Amino acid sequence: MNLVGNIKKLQAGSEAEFRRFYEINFAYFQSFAFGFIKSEEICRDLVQDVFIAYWEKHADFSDSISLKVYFYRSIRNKCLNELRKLKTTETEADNELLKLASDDYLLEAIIEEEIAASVHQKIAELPEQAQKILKLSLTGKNNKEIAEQLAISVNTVKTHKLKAYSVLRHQLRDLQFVLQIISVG
Amino acid sequence: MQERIEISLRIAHLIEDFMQSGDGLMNPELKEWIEESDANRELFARITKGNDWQEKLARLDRMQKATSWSDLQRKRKRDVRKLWMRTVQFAAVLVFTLLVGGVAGYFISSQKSQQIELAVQRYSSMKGSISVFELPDSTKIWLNSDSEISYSEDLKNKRRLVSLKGEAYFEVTHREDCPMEVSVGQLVIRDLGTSFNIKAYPGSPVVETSLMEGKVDILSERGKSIVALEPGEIARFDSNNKTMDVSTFSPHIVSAWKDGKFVIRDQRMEDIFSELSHWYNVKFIFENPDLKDFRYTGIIRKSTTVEHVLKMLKETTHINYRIKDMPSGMDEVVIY
Repeated sequence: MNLVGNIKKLQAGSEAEFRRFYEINFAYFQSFAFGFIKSEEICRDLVQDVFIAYWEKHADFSDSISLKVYFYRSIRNKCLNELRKLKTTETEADNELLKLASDDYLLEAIIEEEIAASVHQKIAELPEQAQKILKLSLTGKNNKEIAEQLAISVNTVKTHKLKAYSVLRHQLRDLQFVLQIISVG
Repeated sequence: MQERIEISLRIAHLIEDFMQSGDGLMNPELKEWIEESDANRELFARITKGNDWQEKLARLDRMQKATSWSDLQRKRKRDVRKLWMRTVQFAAVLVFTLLVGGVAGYFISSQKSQQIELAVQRYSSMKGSISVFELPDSTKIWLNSDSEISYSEDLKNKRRLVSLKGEAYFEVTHREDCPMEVSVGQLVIRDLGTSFNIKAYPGSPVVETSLMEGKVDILSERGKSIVALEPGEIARFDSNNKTMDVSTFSPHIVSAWKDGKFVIRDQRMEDIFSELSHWYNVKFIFENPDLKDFRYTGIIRKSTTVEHVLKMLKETTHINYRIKDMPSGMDEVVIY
């Protein structure tokens, strides 16, 4: 993931920069939290707390790597605390918690989120119409349904898909998911 | 750990490069990492094969769409207020600790307070549901199953008046000029800007007030101060023998109900089933009275069925049960 935002301006306390930083990066950190707690609601709440704590603390980070590490670690700790609170009587839950609390799990979760975020960001660089079509395909809609919803012809949908396909294929050649989503069919 | 995380960030970057180049050539550092362990190999295969990508990308989209700046702003304001309250409360607590401590027994007179005519708002929560509502001053109140509350503002005497039957959790917006007073039976709990939980179901002689944050004063109906609570303290008032005792509690256990959980910590079976009956609208009958005093600890999600809860209790304790379907009225469960 490329943390979007100007670290210098952030450090200088620019509210506008913080807003930009939050709006663009929030979902990626929320999705990282989702790896620990399977509730989008709870994750949103916890990650918001981390953003607020970061902003209010005026923590000093010289580069985007240490800033990123700070977010990953704080979010993970918040999630684990929350899970300990939610802990049920079942012993499997304890084993699950032990797994989630391990260093290895954290490292794996970071690697996965980094790559997912980066793929997601690349899709966001596609032309607007192609993105719209791709996102509708992500929700499981077929070409005809997409065409109806966007009030365009089925052929236009196909053309856009082909274009998106060639761009993404160029960027991420080995990803099979691209084929899955965009199969022009 | 910092170092290991930084290595992971680098590995993520190398995997991305590998996926993008598509020439099948692998950076030696990445290759070494993959060969380091089976877990690494599996992770690499999972990412490049991408079976769960569709779900993941859709979730990211959904999350990005739901990201709201104004949401964060609201939360920040609330947190700043809490921080400020904590500073004020620290001084208050210090003074308080010097004055009072430990268990206190008090006598409370039970005369009726004078009635005031006001516009009253009523809220209630049916059996088996929890409701949350916000007052115009952004005070938030969670109402537990089978509970009701009425709210009014006494503008003349500058008070916000609440009366409660059942259980509620309050996050009160502090107003210096207009404190909130919650009446429960023979007590009045006066808030000074706080989060607290009050449990006062009709049918139980006990009123429990637990303070999470801030400060509350507990007064008699006539406005005489009985005790002030510190965060982390619970006051139990028994209306039968008119005693009040103060002890400490774990915050998340007292308020867990508002997140949809029953938390049972070393409680008597009789008390546990009385709580379950508020939630499930079922009557529990003890065939063997000795079981009433059996103690149990555990957490139950409120979304589970009463059968599931009973099964769980049966498996982990030596109680047994049978369900009697009543064609009209409450179903009965016999515990033996």
